[in-house]
Amino acid sequence: MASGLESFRAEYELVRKKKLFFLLGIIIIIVLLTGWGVTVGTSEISVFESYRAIIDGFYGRLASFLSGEDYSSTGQADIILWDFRLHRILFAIAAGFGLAVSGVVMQGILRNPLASPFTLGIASAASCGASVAIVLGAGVVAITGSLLIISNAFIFAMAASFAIYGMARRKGMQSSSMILAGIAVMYLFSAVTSLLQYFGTTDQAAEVVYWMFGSLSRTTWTELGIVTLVLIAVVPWLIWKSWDLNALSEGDEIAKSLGIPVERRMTVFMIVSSLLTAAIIAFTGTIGFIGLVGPHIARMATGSDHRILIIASGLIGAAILLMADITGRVLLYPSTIPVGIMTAFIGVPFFLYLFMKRSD
Amino acid sequence: MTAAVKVRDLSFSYSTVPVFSGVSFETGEGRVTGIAGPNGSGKTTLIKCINGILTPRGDVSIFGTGVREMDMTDIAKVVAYVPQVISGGSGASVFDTVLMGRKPHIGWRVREEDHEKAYAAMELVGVDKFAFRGLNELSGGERQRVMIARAIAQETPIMLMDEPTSSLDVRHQMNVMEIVRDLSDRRNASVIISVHDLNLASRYCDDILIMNDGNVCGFGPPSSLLNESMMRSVYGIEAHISNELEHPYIVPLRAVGEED
Repeated sequence: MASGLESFRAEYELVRKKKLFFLLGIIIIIVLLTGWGVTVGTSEISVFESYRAIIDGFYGRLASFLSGEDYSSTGQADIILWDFRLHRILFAIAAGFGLAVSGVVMQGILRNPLASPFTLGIASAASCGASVAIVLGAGVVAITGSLLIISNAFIFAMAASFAIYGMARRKGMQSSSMILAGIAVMYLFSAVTSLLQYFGTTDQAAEVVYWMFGSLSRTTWTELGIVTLVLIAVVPWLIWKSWDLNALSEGDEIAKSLGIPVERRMTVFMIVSSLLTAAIIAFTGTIGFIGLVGPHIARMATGSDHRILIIASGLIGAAILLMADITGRVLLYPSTIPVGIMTAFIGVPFFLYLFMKRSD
Repeated sequence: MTAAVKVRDLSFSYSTVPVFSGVSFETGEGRVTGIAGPNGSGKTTLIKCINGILTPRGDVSIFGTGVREMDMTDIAKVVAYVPQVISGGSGASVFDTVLMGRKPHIGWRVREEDHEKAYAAMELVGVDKFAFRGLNELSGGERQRVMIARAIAQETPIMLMDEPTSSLDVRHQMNVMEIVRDLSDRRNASVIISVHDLNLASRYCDDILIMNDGNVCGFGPPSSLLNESMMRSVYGIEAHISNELEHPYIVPLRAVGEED
């Protein structure tokens, strides 16, 4: 017994270390991609200069903040990075992290590998909200311009998740009814978006299409702050409740037998992951595949224990979105391919690889 | 003495379709109670009603406390459940699956003793050798044993098992029933187990509840229930019943009458 337990412990420790090394590897990739990403642009700055400007700028701003003095830029690299480039890179990391975490939660509670903010219609509802703002100039909140688009996208996305919840609740909150309700919502909002494009002017239709391509160019430090706050509010709670996600992934009956109030938990997880998605895509437009592929890759590498899977999915999502944004900017430089298109180009081969592997 | 599980006048319907009605029985600590009956007689549904997975009409109490007065975690601390159908679709490893049995007893962090208890449960049912393989890579019988290991790791005084031997070969059927008997004899656990194999039930159960068409046809020790008349009226078969190793032993001979 003792020797069996000892060898089990040794193997367990090995498995645990492998997972931690994987997380460390992804963090290093994100750091390297950040260094590359901030060098892309009209002004040439080396990778070394970039890292230095990021670190010096961070400590300089922190010191100024703590002493209550105004920060004065230390040079051209500092201005270019901190005023024009860094927030976009950090937004890509935050958005990729959030979308993948949202995907892993949805896949967990619905026990469906195809569940994501897109297959559940939340993204198409956001697109519809943005289209209403662009084509009709109408919104739930009395504001205009880009804020109207953002608020509409957010409100429509949340409305979709509540609609899915309402329909699924009538059917006892079963995962299959949630997925079917999500698909119905997706088609409905897509149809409304198409209708608005059909009746809108050429410029309006083009703006809707551009919004739906997804882009990080619209983001600023303020928007990064908002998304970061949502992540800080949501992700630690999700990690805290990861045992519940583990149990729900095994099925409603198993979860109940392990003490999980299934319907209540599913509702909260659904709303929280929708909030995370809505807060991101309201600013970026449609960005696909991160919420679908990120969790799949993470699951292959770290297993399905959500205590580690949530973080692993988030980091992979961050790396993929960052990679997609950078390659979208360098591939046809000086033109930029929208990040929503690039994530699909990067995500589809991954998805097909997983699909082929599954059919073996 | 307070019964471990007491069921009084229990009924359950899916929408308007009744599954069973008027079910009453009780079982004490350290007893193995088998639930037997033909397909569709309501065995699985009855098991799910005992620990609150389904919400029936009537009363179920656990050590004197009504299930309706307990929250899900309190129930999970005293009742473990082994399902009949095991998907393995989440891709969790065997160890992660068994460790989940500790969920009602722990917070976020897993203690060393939880690892040890999960390992001991895996070793007891013989799944420790593939602890780090995915559940979806195992055969149906191996998955079934993993589910039993998880229930054992849950360390509850009551265990509900829904046909835990249905996917197992004869050797592993014996193995599982010996474990069930051991949990009952040495750990004083009360086990309620639905079984199709009446000879297994006869040998390993203290009491049997026989159901047919949603009604209880009998409850008591196997020797008082398993007879030719019961086999004819409940299962619609003619059978020869002998006594082997002090337990009734059933040899089915032929079907009689028309199938329902």
